[in-house]
Amino acid sequence: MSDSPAEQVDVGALYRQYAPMVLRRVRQFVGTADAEEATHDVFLRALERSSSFRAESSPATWLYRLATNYCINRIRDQKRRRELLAEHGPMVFGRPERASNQEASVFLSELWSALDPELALIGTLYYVDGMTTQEIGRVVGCSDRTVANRLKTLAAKAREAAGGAS
Amino acid sequence: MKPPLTSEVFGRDGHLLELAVSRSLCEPVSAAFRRQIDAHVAECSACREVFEAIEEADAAVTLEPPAWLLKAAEGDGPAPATADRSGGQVIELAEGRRRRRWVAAAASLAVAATALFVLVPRGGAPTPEDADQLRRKSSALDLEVYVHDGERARLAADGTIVHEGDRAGFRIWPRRDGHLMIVGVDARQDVYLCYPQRAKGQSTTIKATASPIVVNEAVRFDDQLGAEHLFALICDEPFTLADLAPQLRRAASGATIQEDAPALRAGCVQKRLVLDKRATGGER
Repeated sequence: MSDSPAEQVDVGALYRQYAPMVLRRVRQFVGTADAEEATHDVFLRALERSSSFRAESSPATWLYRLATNYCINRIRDQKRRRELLAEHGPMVFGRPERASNQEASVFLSELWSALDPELALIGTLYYVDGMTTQEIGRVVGCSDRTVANRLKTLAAKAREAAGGAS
Repeated sequence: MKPPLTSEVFGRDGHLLELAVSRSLCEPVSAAFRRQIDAHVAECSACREVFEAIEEADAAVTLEPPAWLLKAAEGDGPAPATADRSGGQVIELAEGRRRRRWVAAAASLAVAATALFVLVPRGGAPTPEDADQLRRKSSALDLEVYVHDGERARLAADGTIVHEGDRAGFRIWPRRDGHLMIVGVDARQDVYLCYPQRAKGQSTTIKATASPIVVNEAVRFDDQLGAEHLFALICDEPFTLADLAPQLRRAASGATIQEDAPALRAGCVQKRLVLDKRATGGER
C-alpha cells in the first residue's frame, strides 16, 4: 500500500461527510470562535496521517480520535490554555450539560500539562465522554487491559496532584 | 430479554455515546448497531434530546473543504500557515482594507465561498434578559444575532451599538417549514446576503425545529455606518435575494429602530433587528 496520503484518503469526500461531526467535537474543547480553524487542522492531520487509519476502525472513530487528540494538544499549549481559561472558563473542557463531567474535566484540565498525550486522550474519553475501557481501546487502538492500566496511572497522577499518596 | 449493552454504543452510565450517535448519523453502521440506538432513543428521553440536538446541529452545517486543503490532498504543495489560508470559510481581509465591505448586494454571489462561521460562545452565555428575549414563542420564527468584536461575543437587540469590523452570527428558531433567507440592509440601502451564502442568492429549505439552531455562516460589518437592518424570512415558496431587494430597501428606509417593519412578502414570516453601526473606537 502506498504511503501517499492522496492515494489513501479522499479528504474532500471525507470532509463533506464528517466535517459537521468534527466541528461539533472540536467546539467542545476550543470554543466556537476557533472551531472552524481547528476543523480544518483536523482534516489536514487526517491527510498527513492517513497511514494511521486502521482498516478495522470506522472513519468517524478515526476522525473523532484525531479531533480529540488535536484539541488536547492545543490545550496542552500553556499559553493557549491560559487564554482559553480566561476566555471561557472551565466549561471549555467538557460537556456543560453534565455537571459531574464538568468537575472531572476541570480536574483533568489541571493535570493536562503533566500528562503524556495518550494518557490525556484516554482520560478525556473516560472521564469526559464516559466511554468504557473497551470502547476507548477501540478508539485509541490498544487493548482494554492497556486502557485500564493507563487509567490506573492517571488515577495515581490525579491523587498525586491532589496531594494524596501516589 | 434485552440484549446486553455494547461498549461501542453505550457509555459507562448506560447512555448513548456521542461517538455512537455521530456514527449512526454520518456513516453506515450495522443493523444491530442501529437497532440498539433506535431502541434506546425510543425509551430514553435524555438520549433522545441529545440525539435530536446532534442531528439538528449537523443538519444545520453545510461545509465545503477549503481550497488549500484540497490542493494539499492533491499533493499540490504543503498546506499554508493558518494566517495565510484564504478561499476557505474565513476571509482574511487584505492589508489596508480591513474595514471594507465584504458582503455587498452586487458581490453577494461571489461571497458564496467565503462564509464565516457563527460565533455563539459557550462562555458568553446570554443574560437572563437576553434569554427571555430569545425564548419568545409567539411567532413562527425567531432571530438571534450574536456580535463578536474580536474579544467577546454578545447577543444583540434592537438598537445595539456595533462597529465596523465586528462579526455577526445568527441563530434562528423556525417553527414552520418553508424557505429561509437571512439578509441585511445597510444605511446606504445596500442589500447583502447573510445566509445561505453558498446558495447563490436562493433561499434554502428549512424544517421546523424544537429548539433554536445555529446558522453556520456569519458576516463581517463594513464601514458604512448607521442603521444596519437584519431580516430573517421563512416563506411558503422558494425566493431569491433579487425578488426581495426592493421590498427590503423600502422596509429599511421607512422604519426607525423602534418601528416594526411591514410584512415584506405574502406567505412569509419575518423577524427584523436594527443595529446601530458606528466607527471603531466609539461607544460600545
